[in-house]
Amino acid sequence: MHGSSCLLASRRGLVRSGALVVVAFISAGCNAILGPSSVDDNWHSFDSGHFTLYVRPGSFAEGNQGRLGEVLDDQYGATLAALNVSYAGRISAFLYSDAADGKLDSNRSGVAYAATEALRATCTPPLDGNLFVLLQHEANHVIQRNTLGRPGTSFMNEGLPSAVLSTRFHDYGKDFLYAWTADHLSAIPPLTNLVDDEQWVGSQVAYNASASFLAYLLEQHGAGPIKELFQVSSKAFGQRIQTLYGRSLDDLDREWRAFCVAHRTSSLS
Amino acid sequence: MRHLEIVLAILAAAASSASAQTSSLAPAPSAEPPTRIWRVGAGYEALSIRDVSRSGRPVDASPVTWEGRGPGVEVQYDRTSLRRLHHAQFNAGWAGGFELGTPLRTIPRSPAEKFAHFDGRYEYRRYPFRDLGLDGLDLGFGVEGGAVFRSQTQIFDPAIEVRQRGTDVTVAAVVAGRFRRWRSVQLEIAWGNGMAVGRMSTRHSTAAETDATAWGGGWLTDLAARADVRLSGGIALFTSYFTTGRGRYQSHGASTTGRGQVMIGVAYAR
Repeated sequence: MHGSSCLLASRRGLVRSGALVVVAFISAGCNAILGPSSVDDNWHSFDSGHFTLYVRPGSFAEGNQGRLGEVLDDQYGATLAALNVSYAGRISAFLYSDAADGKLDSNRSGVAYAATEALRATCTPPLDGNLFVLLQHEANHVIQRNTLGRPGTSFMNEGLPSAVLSTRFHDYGKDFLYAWTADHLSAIPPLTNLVDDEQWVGSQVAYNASASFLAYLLEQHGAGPIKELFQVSSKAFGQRIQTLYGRSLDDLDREWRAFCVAHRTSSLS
Repeated sequence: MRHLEIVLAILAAAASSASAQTSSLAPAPSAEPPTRIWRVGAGYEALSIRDVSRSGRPVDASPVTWEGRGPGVEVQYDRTSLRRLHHAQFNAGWAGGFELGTPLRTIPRSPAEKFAHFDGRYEYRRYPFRDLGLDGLDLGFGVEGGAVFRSQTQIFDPAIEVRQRGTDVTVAAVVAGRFRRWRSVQLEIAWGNGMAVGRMSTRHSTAAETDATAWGGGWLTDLAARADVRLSGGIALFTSYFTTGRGRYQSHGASTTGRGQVMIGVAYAR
């Protein structure tokens, strides 16, 4: 009798201990695991026309904040003009010293947050077109999403910001994209694959190809149809293309590739 | 850490008027009918939202926060005994006065920006561990189901209005502690973690498709603390603190929301 009550007592103790372990585990909570981290305040800020640049004290970005603001302001105006949209929001741009500082993927990496009109990006030397393109691309995400709505495909989401790059400070605009397309025809998947979010891989080929195609559509047909297409999902994309442009996505794919080859040929000649 | 300080302050304030017997708000002993308690309260709540670009760890959220505040109300109903609790609750809140909070400054937003939510939830809880180390200290576990309707409007210059409306259904597992040692004061704290699934419609004034709808899912972490202070008979005052962190994911859009509220009200037990 005494032995069985001891056994019961030890079982109860075990159950209680187990429950407390479960409690301790759960108490970490979803918020602790999946919630956002806090933001540090080790920044200096500088205002340009449309941007507030947050830079690390003494960093490369701080030393070049004037030129970076100039590049971003130029892009801001270029995007509004290219897409024929109105937007006057001030964008907060957080420029990190390197990938580790910003917990970003690489030293040429960035992300945008349209709802809070912000972007984060690494800002490392040299002060060249690659850096400008990165910042312009992220700024365009904010502008496009707040004026055109939520994108329906990754193809649109990542392609359009690079399709409207201003070339005042570098040469990586649409002419570069057309030449790149002509040089990589065999590596570029069919557009029917690129517009499908299930097959979107986010590679440099996918980014450049989508930007090149959308730059081509903008140049040939204007901003109106692109704006209609921005929110269309992968499933409805082909049908909407047919409605807006009067031909299939496959037909437009062929025309775009042929245009890029001809464009390169004429550029060389 | 700030949340913990607020919880401790509420509990300490309540405990200061305690005496050493069971209160009429305490759960009924097993042999007696369950105690029924109604609570009605009002207070203040603060809201913050950050959009997220990568929802996996480490979560990549905006360094800028959309923040607002405003009044809130709540109604609660408990049917409780020593061993179990049925808890139903309705909350509503309205936030305005929005600003964007950056690490160095706050940026005022349009007065037309607003947020409202209406939450209903029900929890069934059992207290298998009673008098845990101290007389009247109980540990319980519960499951909770709920529904949340929310509406938010953001304005982007010059005159772009983005209005989102959504309804989420939530389920959560709850761990709770209860301290019922004193005659005039009862304390309770509950911690819930779970998931949500829901639908959100977005009306964007300048988009081609002004109305867009998407399904999404997410997670939630709730922390609730409450102190009931008996006045006379079955009447009591209560004060509560509630904070929730929620994540929401949908196609090409994710965000995290933090909301905290402090309520004061009246409870009636029978």
